[in-house]
Amino acid sequence: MSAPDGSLRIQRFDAFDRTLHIALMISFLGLAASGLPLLFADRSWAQLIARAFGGYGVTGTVHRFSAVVLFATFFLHVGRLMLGTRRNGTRFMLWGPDSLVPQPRDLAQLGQHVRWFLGRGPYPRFDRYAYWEKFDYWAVFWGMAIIGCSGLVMWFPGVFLRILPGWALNVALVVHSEEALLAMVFIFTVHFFNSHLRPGKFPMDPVIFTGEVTVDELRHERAAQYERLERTGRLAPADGPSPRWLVKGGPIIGTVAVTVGWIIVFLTLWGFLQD
Amino acid sequence: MPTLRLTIRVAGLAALAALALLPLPAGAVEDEDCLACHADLEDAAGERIAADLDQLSESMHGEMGLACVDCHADVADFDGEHPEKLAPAACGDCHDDVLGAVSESAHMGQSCGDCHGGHEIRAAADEAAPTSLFRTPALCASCHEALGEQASQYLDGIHGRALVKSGLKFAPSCVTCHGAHEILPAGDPRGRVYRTKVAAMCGSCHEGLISTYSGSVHAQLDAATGEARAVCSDCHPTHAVGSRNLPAWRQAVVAECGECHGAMLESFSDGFHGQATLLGFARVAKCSDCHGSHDVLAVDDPASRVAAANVVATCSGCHEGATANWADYDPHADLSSPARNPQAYWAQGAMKVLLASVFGFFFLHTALWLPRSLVAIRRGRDAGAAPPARELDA
Repeated sequence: MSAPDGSLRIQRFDAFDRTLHIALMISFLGLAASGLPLLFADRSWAQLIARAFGGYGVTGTVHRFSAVVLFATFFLHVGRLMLGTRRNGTRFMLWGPDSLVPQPRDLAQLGQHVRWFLGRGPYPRFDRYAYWEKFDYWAVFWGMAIIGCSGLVMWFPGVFLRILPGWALNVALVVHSEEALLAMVFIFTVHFFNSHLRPGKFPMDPVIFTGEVTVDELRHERAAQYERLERTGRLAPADGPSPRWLVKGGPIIGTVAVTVGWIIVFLTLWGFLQD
Repeated sequence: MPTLRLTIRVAGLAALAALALLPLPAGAVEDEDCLACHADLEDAAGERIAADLDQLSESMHGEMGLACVDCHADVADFDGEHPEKLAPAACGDCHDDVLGAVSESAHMGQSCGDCHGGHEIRAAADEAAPTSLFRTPALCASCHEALGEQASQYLDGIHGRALVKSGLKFAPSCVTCHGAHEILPAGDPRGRVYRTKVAAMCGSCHEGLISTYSGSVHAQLDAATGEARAVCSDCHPTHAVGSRNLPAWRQAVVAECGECHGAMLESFSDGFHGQATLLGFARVAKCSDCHGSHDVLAVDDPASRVAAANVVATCSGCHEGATANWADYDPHADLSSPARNPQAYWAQGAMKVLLASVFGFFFLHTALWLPRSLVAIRRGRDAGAAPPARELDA
């Protein structure tokens, strides 16, 4: 598939992963916005947000509904990985340039990247997934496991406390809140900067909605992947254009996400400063 | 015994009335002498001077046939002229017991008429009297609305609504608790609503709660003050007293407990029950749902609802099917105490380390990346992606 300017466009994310990312965004924002008031329940602004949702009951329902959507996203993703493994074998998924598993190369590239930050070396030759992208992925993966499990314990204490000791509820509340803080602030600052807001990508990288990158982008940003694809003759054009609504709507969804995210970060910082 | 008091009063007034009918010495002032002037509406200067005889005749004094000078005693020797301003009516000549009580009360210096009215005066038992049961709150409010918010709080509270809105004759008016002529501020030990007398005062109506409360930890005497640890009014707002079933009172009672149990309120607020309460969830457990209310016992009392043997049953009150494991949950967890909550304490510590490392690393990473990518763009690369082409090729 060629871009309007005639340059070749390469597939980076397929429709399934892009759809899951949208589901992830919406459910994560829903969870953050409905969970934040509970975290700062004694602040008047938190009570205001809960009222804006329609009261405590609705806020809780939004939180649990978003959680169910996120659980579904998680299991669809993991399920697909399992199917992919059965079809293509584990080697592709667990190691190599197309794998998200951290590898020695990532540590080396972190060093090279920092040297480049300081003007002491060339830009690293990243492959399909750079180290910070792998961190983003595993941070969300780990976060969903931790927040999901602790959330379920608090949602169904009657079930879990048949096995777990009572203090597990105390731990669940601590872990759920702290991990939620980590996830919110990380996504809304570090992930937003690394993937969208940094000079060169600003105001956003549309690839997560369109799924495509130009060959030129690829050659500059992911030299190792570009050469690998070229060498193996897999520098093939993308499967087809993304739906128009997704291409047009992407920036709107992105803008909403950044706005909501920053409001939440602001409220979080303010909440701590009020202490 | 108001009826007895009334009987005595009526008898006394009847005796006085009988006296009034006796032939008076020459020169004594008759009502006709007064009416010679006061039947007219205005005097020569245009000042209103009419005595409202209609009101007087309908009043209890009128029915008893009191003469003008029985109250306006300073014109008893009227000989054609009297001072422009008469002395206050001499109520105490008959009501000397009442006058004594008032002169030692918070209302010392007020005139009787401020509450009872003047010529139109009626007995409190008369529904039309401003001092009658249902009209008392409005009467008191005519001053106390301006002095504070007690009157509107009372009217919004369950006592005020029962009396004024629902017209329940056994509901308390201001006078029921504070007394009438002998009224004193709450801080005065002689007063009816002094702290040490509150439990008995409330118990005079809420009789069924006396024995429950008496057995509670709140009824025990504090070693320092010698007074009960908490009386009714320490937990229940006095004038705005509400029903425990109202969501607003369910929310407010937590703050009432926190007035004394500050640290417990804080740890409650950090837990799930407290967070949900603060966001306005009335149904979630409040202090009294676990600890009890009038029957509250110390947590180390084996009979307490939160004692080890009873706590699971207490949890089951809301969480149907709670198991023995529930006893290990701490609704007042203190995350700063490794002794009280070791697991949560260490979990919190581990999470803080995780947060500090992740943010420390990535904020530094961003702080280095941002300026470098700006430089890269300024050095000029076509599409705006981070690295300049020549650095890539290097």
